[in-house]
Amino acid sequence: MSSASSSAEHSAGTNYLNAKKGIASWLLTVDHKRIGIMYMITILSFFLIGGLFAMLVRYELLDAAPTLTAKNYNKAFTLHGAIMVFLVLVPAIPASIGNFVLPLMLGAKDVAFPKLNLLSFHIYILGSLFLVYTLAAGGVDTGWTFYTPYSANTDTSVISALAGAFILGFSSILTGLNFIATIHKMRAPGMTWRKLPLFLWAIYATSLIQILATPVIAVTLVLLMVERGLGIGIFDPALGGDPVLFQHFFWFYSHPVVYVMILPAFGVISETITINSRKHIFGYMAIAASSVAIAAVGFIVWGHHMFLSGQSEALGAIFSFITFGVAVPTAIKVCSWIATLYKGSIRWNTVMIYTIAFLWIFSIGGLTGLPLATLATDVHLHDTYFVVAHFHYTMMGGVLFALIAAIHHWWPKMTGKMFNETAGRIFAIFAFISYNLTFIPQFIAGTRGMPRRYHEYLPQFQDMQFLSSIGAFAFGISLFCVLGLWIHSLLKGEKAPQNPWGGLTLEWATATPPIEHNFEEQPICTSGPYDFPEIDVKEPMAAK
Amino acid sequence: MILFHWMFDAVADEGYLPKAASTLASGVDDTFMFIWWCCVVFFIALMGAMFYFVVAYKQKDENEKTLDLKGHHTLELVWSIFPSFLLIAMFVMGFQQYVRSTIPPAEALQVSVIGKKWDWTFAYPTLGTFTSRDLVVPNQEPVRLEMISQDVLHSFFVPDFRMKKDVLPNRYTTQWFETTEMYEPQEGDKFYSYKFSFPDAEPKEGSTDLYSSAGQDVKEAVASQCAKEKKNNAALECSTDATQIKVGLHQVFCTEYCGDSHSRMLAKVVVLSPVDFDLWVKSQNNFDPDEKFKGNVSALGEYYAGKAGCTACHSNDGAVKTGPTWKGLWDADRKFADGSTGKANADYIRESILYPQAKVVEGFPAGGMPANLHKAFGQGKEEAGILAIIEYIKTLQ
Repeated sequence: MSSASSSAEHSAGTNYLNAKKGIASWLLTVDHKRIGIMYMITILSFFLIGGLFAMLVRYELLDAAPTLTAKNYNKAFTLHGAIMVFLVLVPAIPASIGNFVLPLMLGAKDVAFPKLNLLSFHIYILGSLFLVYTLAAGGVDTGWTFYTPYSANTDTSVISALAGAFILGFSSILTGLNFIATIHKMRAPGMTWRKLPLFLWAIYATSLIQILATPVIAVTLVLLMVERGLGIGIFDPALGGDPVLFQHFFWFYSHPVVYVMILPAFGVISETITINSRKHIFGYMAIAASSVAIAAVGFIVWGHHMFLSGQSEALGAIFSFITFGVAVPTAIKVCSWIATLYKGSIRWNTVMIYTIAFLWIFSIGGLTGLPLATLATDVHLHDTYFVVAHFHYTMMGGVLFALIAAIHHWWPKMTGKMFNETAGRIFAIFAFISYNLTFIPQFIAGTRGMPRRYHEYLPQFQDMQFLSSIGAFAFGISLFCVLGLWIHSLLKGEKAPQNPWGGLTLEWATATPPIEHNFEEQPICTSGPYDFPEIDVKEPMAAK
Repeated sequence: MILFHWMFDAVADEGYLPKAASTLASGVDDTFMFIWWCCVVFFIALMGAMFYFVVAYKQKDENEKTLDLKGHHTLELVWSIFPSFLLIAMFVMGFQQYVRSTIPPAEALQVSVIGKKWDWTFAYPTLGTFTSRDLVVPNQEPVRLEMISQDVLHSFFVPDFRMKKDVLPNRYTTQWFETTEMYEPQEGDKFYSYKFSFPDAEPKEGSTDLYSSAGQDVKEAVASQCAKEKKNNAALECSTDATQIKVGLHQVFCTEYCGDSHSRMLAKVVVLSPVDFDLWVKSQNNFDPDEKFKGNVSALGEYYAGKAGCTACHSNDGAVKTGPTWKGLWDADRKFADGSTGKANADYIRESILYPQAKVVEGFPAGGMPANLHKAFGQGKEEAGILAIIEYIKTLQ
């Protein structure tokens, strides 16, 4: 994607980081880049808190005998789940990387509604304060799923946690709305839908889910608050409600939301895998369309969380069948990424190692979804550690490795600094190995029947739980190493060139770091996002 | 790497799946293994291709040329359609097994499963009014479970039977199984009920709790019933020696998170031969606690406390549950919600059982305890039962 923008003066001039000074210039900024950076710092901070709870959980499970009290353990895994889902994974890529990169990739000055963008950040902070208050008020012990009637009756701080999740939903909706409007209206001249970088297709599909599904969880959480606060029977049988109704409402949002988490990760991988193998993406239309297909089908599979909940068997069979429908576009994506590598010129850099790690992790996550989609085998595996391992491989492993890949990929653009490649590669491999050591044993424990959310467990699960805990501690250390790499880069990193990876998308066509309004003049999009100069166009095209 | 090696060694030794002890299990396992091998093949194919490409096409020169390839329709069709057939096969296999698991045979023995925070109770409505803390079933006969919860959601899971279903407070749910053979516990096997303390799970020294031994209580009941029956029918094929009675044991878990003691909400399935099962049923119908606990009135009190459900809300070890603990209760000073005070003497305990709302301890919910629980002691046994519970509480210092 070539550009008319020249940035000859950028090296001496100001950029978005140093154009304005002072804390207020950050907190009240309408610059999408600064908002993206603030999101990133906040999200990573909450990731640290959620991660510490994970370490606490794994510390408890190191040994079959209890160390924490049951109540404290239950609060630890609840807060781990709630923080990771609502504060980290949902906004992880769209709000941080998406905010920073989306207008740049489009060749736009900013998002369509910059003030709304700031508002959504402030709402995010407000919502997070409710969850922080929940921590201070003694925590909550319902599990992140808030299943009724337990959540209607427990004496922990449920309402503040619900209110936090409710408020966070608005941040998510506003961001989604903003991105959709921006992608529709602010593409650079020449950027047709077929020239839209795949990261933006993924963000587009994500945003659609956010604005369609989030209101449902908002309503559900309000209903639960009303039930707890005012005693109006909706979900609690003691008041005349039905607990399974809550599960339907909850999963109607919470299943699509796993695609809110993973679709942007798909988008990141489509960018990093092409740029680092110097090739066209294999099957651009298939990948773009499968993002939208996953988003659409994702809305009608929620019942696969509820095969054993008491919903009708016929409904279970229908949900099982449709769930397999999600497997097809997912398989298309993985196959297309791997085919992209064929006869490329593949760089073995840090970003690419994270990309390869993502493909490994996501393949395991996707394939282990199959026995869970199958009715009879799900009966055995449901609510065991197999499920825990499965959703960590998809949601957490998939999103996290893509997020770290994305941060490394756009790091030079965001900070103007390069990071140490050798250390980056070592930490990536360390993180990858320890990640697998954490979660593969959980598959085995779960297959053997170890239920999830157990504060203490039977001796036959000792070996696998011990291995998993060791892996988790190592994984924690590896992430601190990555953090150290970034801090080192900020303090001592070499100055980054404008386009260190040879990217063709428009964010690489402007200064590093970008100027306040992104481009000196309106860039024009003349070619596709992956028409790398290394591609040998003399060879006949295989298709299209 | 050593850790990974250890992990796969453990898998090689013990396999992935627990033992298959029900008629449904082998079909589920076949489905699982089919999916497992599909996954293995796909995973190796995908990762093999990926690592091959990454190594074979590693960048050697920054300006080297790459293939101009934007897609390949035939290939894309193949990898869209071919897996779909396998996916449909998985769905069909899983669906068939699932349908089998949802339709109990008409002649199945009905057992009621009652879940509450945090234990299981089993009742046999077609066989008598007794209840059991372990699911005692006849071998190789179908059993239908009608399940209900008295509070929050629970889930009844027996890994060896590949069987699990949520237990709801507002609606009966059903599942069924039939054991294939009697899996006697092997050396080192351990099975757990709520009353055990983790992690060693040995019964408490001198425990008189009927429900906490690893099938021992069931064996003893069968043996003593056998002795009675043999008086009338010497040809009956049963053993009067408890150690000779064979039982199969399987672990039951609660798998829907239900609060503090979720991980202790355990029970056992005790499988008996059909003859022994009939004897056990008779023994339960004829069970006379006065005879069983002759000369040990506090043990009788502990039995009644379990039978009437007192222990669901009152701990005997100081733990705070829905109601105050009984540990150290005897003769202690009590402070009540209305500000008055009193001593926990025999009058107070009797009043609290008969009229729970008369004096509510400060910090506990009014109306938390139903009246008339003493009726569960049995017709004519109410006052004796209350005295026995008082004696039991006296021992909990």
